Amino acid sequence: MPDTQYSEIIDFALKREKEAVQFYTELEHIAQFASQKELLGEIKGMEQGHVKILENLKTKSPEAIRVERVPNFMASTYLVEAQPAKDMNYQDILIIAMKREDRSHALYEELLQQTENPELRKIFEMLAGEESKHKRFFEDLYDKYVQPDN
Amino acid sequence: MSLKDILSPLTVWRRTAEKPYTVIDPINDRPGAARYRGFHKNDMEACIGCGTCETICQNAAIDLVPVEGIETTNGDSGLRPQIDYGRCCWCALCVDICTTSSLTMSNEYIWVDTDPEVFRFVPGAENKPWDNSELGYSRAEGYQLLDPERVEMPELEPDTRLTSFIEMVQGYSAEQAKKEADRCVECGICMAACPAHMDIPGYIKAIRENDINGGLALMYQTNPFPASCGRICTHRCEEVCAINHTGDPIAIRWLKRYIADMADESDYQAITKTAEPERTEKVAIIGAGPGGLSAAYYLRLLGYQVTVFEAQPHGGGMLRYGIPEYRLPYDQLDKDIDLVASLGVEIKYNTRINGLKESNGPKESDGPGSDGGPAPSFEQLYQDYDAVFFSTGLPDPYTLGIQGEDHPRVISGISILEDVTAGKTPDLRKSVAVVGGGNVAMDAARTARRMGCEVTVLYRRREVDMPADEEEITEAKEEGVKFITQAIPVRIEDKPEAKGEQAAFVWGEAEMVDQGEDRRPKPVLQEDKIHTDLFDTVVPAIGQGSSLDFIPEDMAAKIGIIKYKIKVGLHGETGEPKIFAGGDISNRLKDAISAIADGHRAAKGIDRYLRENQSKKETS
Amino acid sequence: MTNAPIIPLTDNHQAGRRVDLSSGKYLKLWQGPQHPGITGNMSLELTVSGDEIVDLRTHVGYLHRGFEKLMERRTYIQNFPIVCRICVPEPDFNEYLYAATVEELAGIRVPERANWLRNLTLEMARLASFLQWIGGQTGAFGMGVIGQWGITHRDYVLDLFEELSGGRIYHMYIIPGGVRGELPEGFEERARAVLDKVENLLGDIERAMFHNAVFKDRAKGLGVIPREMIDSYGITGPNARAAGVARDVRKDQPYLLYDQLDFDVVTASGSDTYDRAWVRFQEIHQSLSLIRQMLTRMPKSGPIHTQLPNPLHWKIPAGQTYRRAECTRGEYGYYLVSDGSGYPRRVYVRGPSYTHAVALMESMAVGANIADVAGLMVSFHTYPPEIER
Ligand SMILES: Cc1cc2nc3c(=O)[nH]c(=O)nc-3n(C[C@H](O)[C@H](O)[C@H](O)COP(=O)(O)OP(=O)(O)OC[C@H]3O[C@@H](n4cnc5c(N)ncnc54)[C@H](O)[C@@H]3O)c2cc1C
Ligand code: SF4
Ligand code: SF4
Repeated sequence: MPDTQYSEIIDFALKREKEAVQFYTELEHIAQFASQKELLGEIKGMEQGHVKILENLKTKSPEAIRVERVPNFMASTYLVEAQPAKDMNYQDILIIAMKREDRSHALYEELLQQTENPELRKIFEMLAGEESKHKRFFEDLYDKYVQPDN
Repeated sequence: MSLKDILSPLTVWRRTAEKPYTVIDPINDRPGAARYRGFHKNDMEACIGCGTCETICQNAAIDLVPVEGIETTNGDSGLRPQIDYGRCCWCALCVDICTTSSLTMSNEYIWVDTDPEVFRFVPGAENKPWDNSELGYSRAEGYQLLDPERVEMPELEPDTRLTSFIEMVQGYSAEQAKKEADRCVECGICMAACPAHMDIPGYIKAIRENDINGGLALMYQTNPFPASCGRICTHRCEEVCAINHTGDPIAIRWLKRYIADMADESDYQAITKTAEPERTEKVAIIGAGPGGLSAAYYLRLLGYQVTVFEAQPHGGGMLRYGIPEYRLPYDQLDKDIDLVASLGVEIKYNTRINGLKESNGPKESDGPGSDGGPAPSFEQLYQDYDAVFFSTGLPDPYTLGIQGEDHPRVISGISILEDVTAGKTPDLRKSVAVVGGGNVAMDAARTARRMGCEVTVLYRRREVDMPADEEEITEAKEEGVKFITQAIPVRIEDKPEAKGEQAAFVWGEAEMVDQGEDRRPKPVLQEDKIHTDLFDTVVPAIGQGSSLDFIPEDMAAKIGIIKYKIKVGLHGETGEPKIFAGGDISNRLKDAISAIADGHRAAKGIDRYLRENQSKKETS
Repeated sequence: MTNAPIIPLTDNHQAGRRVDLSSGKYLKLWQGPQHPGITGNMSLELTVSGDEIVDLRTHVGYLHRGFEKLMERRTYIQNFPIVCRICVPEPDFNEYLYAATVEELAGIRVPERANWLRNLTLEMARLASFLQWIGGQTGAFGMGVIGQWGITHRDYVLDLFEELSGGRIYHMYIIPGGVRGELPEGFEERARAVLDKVENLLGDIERAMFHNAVFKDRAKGLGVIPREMIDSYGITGPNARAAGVARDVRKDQPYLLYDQLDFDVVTASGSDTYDRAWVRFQEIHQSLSLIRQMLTRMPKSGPIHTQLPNPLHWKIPAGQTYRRAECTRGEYGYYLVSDGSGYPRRVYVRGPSYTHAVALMESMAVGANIADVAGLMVSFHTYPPEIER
């Protein structure tokens, strides 16, 4: 695989993650209460972690990439995303986060389908896995705190 | 002397040719019988270190000792019985009474050693040749020293229950309570499991000894809500009760209620007299739920001047506005609250603390202060009081989060319950779907049944996974509530012909997917198994969240909020030294007794903080 | 010799007789406190002239363990394991009578099958105790071989006890409320086999012991208890029955299921060592028959124990009662007083040995010769452990 293609893809992913960080930063501004900000800050931190990983990847060879796949439980498929608003509660923010991860996951899955190149596939698999891992994390929070009784 | 008498003895001559009767090699040829009472065996996994064996042993041959590799956990003292065979008389009473049946005996009775120390050991913890022996004494079927059966609680019949909100559990008579109290072995395992660490064996003993006052006083040492908790407590104690291992756990909750029911007003006054001198420091408490009032009670006992601010017109928090009357009658809750108030705790009702930076008058939604003036802001309390405790609970119901939920026929469980408490009739109509499997769902479903509705509960997981009390599920079924489990909400539709008067609830069947050992299986929607049912009302009851917007932002940053929960220390300390918090907004268990325990601990924390403050002032 | 010790004699001894030890005509001998025969730790202080006993004093106290007092400090359930220890050869009577007194005061009903099992064990205890006595009685007259047979066969009965209760000597089987276990699989067959074995032995014993010139010679006429002493001394069991007094608690005040079982009170008239032995021998036959009857007629299943109140807090209503039963040696009784607390106020154990070994022995030994003292003692069939509770 030509190096350019590899780093192009990393850059593409990096851009998306940076956008995410940006998104949560904006939400923080919209949010009115400390509890909202605290949570958004935490999620933003996770996205920043992603940025780090991707930046590291730039200097690594694709062989070193570890792929982790998490099954999709469709826990957020039928949830409706709230509009970012100043009175978002815990549930609203978690749904936003899950949906975002869901979309990113879908995107990488699609890219994965479209390429035959094994090294590229590996990167997409890795990225899709990362996103679904995140989604899973939010789903667990959602189960535990938002719908403990269901 | 006849000749016969000389010859007769000789007729038994053939016995001289008999083989000896003696067992030549008794160690090998003569094992103990299958029931022999030999050296003890103890199943280390099953034993909970309750010490009942130690209590019954008349020879004091048993000591409960720590054992390497056995941890103290909820329901296990972490100790194990050590037996001194210099004292043991092999009576096996210890085996007979063992609450878990972990303790048995082998049929091994021969053991020779020159070191006397070896004859004192912990069976099961130190490998002995007989540990795996199949033979030996164990308690026989049909014989037991401890009564495994709980005294049945008289309850209203399901048909009668449905006609009103009358309390369904009728309470023990004196005779029943004593009989139930008699079953307790006083191991105290329950005390560790109780979030408030109530002296359970102590007050159960008081029942046996007819000492209602003593029992009440003991309860008040750790819990100022005995009448309420005696009815609705989550009774974590009963889960770990030693008797629960081979029978029904002691009905600890009902016994607590018995004491509260039996005590009359003068008893109440007598036990709560405080010996502490009055103190001048003022403490503000936000929320008159169990957390807030528990803190108020213990602070007042310590002599502090306590004011409680409560948004609602009455106290009790979710115990009043959540739990229905048939489980906790209001007069019983009032009994608990009145006692706290009678000590000189001021409770300002209809006073919602707001988040305004400066108190520039109440918002529209905020009720006025009880004195007619504006309700104070958090900031103001912070300024005017020496310490603030808040326990404001989880008032915000979470929604299903699915499409169509803004349908007019969707009403949250909490709001139904709150309406009923406030004397309003919720608009439920005939067929009702309640979504969720926790206590709120059960309460909403059973309330709806009492209002004449046909009720179906839909729950995402299996019945065993339901967080609601098993009892409540059973009772709901008795009352005719239908259950559909493994049902995942998909969306709510409006049937055009129903014109907003009925909701079409679309749900899908769930497949339970195994998540490995310690995690419960996850329900996963099967998209090809979707159902649509029409209901007059859909009631989400899946969880609640906090509403912390009364805390101004800068203050919140100092206090420390994580995932919409207040981060507190052991004594309710927040990041801001003057502010303490507890109850549902900060703890994990989210039940009344945990809130009460939080309130008590916070009272201690506040007391320590104020005393330290005072001594600082004095020294400076 | 003005300071010569004078041994005063009680009324029980020949009136007015005084023994002047310094006269040189008398010798003092101690028998015991090590086991004189099979009678346990007590001692006999003999004053002899030649080999004739002119005076005998009994000494107890070597075995005092204070059971009755200990019991006042233990809860009702905690007393259950110690009562059996009051009498080694017949522990079960202690278990039964303790349970019976407690149950009576506490108002506890014992299930029917438990009563059958209790009755079975009491009769098994009688059988074991009689077999042990044979060992003592024959041993004391120098016929130890016969004694070995008795002791061995007792062990077969103890085997049955072991498989039933988990212990050979201290069975701890009869517990307030019922019994602690069912009969093990195949118990009945094994029990019947033991009974047959004992029965077979009895024929030999009859020939070797009762139709034995030596035994007859020594036992006949030895220790004749006059009929009028029976009541005034409170003599019970075979000691009374051999004097022609048909006294047997099992008939006079039937307990457990004795009123449903078929047996006659065995009596004799000679009231000497031989007749007492003969009565006991007949009662061994009787025990075999009773055990067989019970094995046949006992209900095959049913509850064995009634749920007690929690033994850890068990308080028994104030009251008192005396219950009795017929052990191999006579009337065994328990007197229990409760003050309503969790501990007995008083437990009094009435064993037959006190009367028979202390007062009776002192009276009956005078005139006998030294060699017969042990045989005479055994002929009263006493067990010092239950003298000293
Ligand atoms: C339907 C239902 C059933 C339940 N069943 C049980 C049960 O069976 N057993 C059990 O142990 N637990 C049960 N619980 C849980 C239990 O009620 C709570 O754990 C407990 O009440 C928590 O106490 P708390 O003091 O933390 O909060 P709450 O009881 O929620 O009290 C908070 C109080 O603060 C007031 N408040 C809030 N904000 C403000 C403000 N800004 N200004 C002034 N006042 C304010 C509220 O009006 C309320 O009175 C149930 C809960 C519900 C909803
Ligand atoms: S009674 Fe049983 S469970 Fe309790 S400490 Fe003893 S052996 Fe363990
Ligand atoms: S067998 Fe009896 S004496 Fe021995 S430890 Fe158990 S209760 Fe104590």
